[in-house]
Amino acid sequence: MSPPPSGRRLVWVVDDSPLDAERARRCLSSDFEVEVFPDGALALERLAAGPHPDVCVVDWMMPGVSGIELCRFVRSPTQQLSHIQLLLLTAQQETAQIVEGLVAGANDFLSKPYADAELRARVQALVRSAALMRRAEDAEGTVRQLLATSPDALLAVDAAGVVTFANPEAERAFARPLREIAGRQVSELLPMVELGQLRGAGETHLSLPDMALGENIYAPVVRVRPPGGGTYTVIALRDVTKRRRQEARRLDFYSILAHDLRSPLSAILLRGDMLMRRRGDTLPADVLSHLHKTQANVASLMAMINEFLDLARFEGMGFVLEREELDLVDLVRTTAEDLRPLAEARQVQLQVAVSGPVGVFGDRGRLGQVVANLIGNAIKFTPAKGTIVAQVAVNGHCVETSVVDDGPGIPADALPTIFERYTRAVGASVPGSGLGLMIVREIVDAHGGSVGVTSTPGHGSRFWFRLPRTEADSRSRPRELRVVNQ
Amino acid sequence: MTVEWKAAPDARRILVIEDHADLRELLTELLNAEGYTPEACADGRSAIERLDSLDGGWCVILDLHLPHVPGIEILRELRNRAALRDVPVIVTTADPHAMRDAAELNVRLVVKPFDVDDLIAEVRRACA
Repeated sequence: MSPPPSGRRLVWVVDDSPLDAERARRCLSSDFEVEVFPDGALALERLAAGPHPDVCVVDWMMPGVSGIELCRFVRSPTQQLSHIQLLLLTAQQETAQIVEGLVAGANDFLSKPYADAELRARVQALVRSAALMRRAEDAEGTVRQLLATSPDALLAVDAAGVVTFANPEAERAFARPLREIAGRQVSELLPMVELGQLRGAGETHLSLPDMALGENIYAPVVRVRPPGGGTYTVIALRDVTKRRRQEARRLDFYSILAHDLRSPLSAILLRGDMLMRRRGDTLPADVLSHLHKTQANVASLMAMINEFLDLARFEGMGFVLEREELDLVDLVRTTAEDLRPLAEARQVQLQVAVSGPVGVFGDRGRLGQVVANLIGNAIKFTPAKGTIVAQVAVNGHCVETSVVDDGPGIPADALPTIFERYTRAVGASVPGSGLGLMIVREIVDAHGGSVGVTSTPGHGSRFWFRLPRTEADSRSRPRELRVVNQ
Repeated sequence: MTVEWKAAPDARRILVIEDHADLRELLTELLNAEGYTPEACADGRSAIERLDSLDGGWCVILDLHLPHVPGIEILRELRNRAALRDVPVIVTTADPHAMRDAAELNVRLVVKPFDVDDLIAEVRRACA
């Protein structure tokens, strides 16, 4: 297969007639490296030794090994010589014979006597085919090698949920040979992956909770191709056993630390509380005021510890979402109602502009936390007499929830990093919103959604998050908003 | 919100399982002041032992984070005993996500830091 030192492609001429063989050699040697074999047996010997030609011009009628036998040998599946192109030469042109030659594996056919130009042209065409085939084989080899060496177990699943491909790592993960994986329903292999449900969720890129296979823990990532044009799903399973064990240890450490911090804080709060309840009326006003402020600080310290632990948990165990079909509009409405007393206490008007229902496939508790965080922040940073509007708007296959306030806004330098983990803008002028927004991002990310903010200093901010929605018809026009609750 | 003081709201005795000494003392003090009869355990192991002498007339205030035996194990043990299956349990935890199956295990959740009124209200509901 490798080209001779001249760089020209190698062509063999196998013909028992010295005159014919010499004619073919002369005709082809201007373009190719030509080697002549006086009979089929010699050609067979050389095939075993290599190097192999791109094209083999074979005379049909030869004593010993005939042209047709040589063709059959080259094409026999055990030989792995499929890259050699075969041009069969024959004295006559009869359909039956041509068919027999092609069936035996010849790529092309030329009857004697032929014009030199025609032989040259046909060989050139076959050399081009050989080059194309080589390229295709190289490409396929590269892909096969990539899949074989992929550290992730990979499964391809068709629209009917049948596994159509599995790489060697998948064989290891499932501890089964390929023939016991391919052709099976994916639900037999991964009962925890509900592909129907995933497709229903209208998502194309999903991170699922870790799953255990045998002794190991795998983090699955699923790509669902949109319907039409050969729907299929690719599931990649990454072995995260070691990492998860480390993370579990770290998380344990964090929880113990957090618990150890929280207990004395709870005691401080409780003591303060009892002091104020029992002695509130006898304490001097200034002492009572100090006590109130102490309590508020301890409470905010406690909230920070809780947020820190939450964040550690997201980072750690690839935290598990308890997903269900839920109405986001209802969730926003009830969360806003929970926070209404806080808004009223701060004399901020809280409006909820939604029309529902809008289905999403998510964790009710966690998404409630996201909405509460965004509305809570808005209440915290909007001065008295300000207005906050929470909205839910459907746009295509997405649903966007936004919280708009007319507060002081956020400086431009703080915006790019406001959701980033472990990052706070240098000299950030946004107090106390540190961990909460990181948690918001983690939760929305885990749902396959996105978060963002726009803000104009002096004119307020608009925080939003988008989630994939679950309605079958995801191409409906954006819904009109209706103020249903002021 | 203020809670009206009642001399003897309930005859129920309350077992406080809490590893933090000052919190334990505070809870005991508070429950005493409210007219209950509290007893306290400082760790999971002694709490499990203490379960043997409990009956349906008790109420339990349980911290989830405990030395030796975690609170969730104590809860399971409690629910596995026929005599204690219906004992009211108030779980005190700082982590609101710690007990997703609170309803399943039939417990009331009080999130730390709790305020005195909320805790007492919860105890009264539990013992009602």
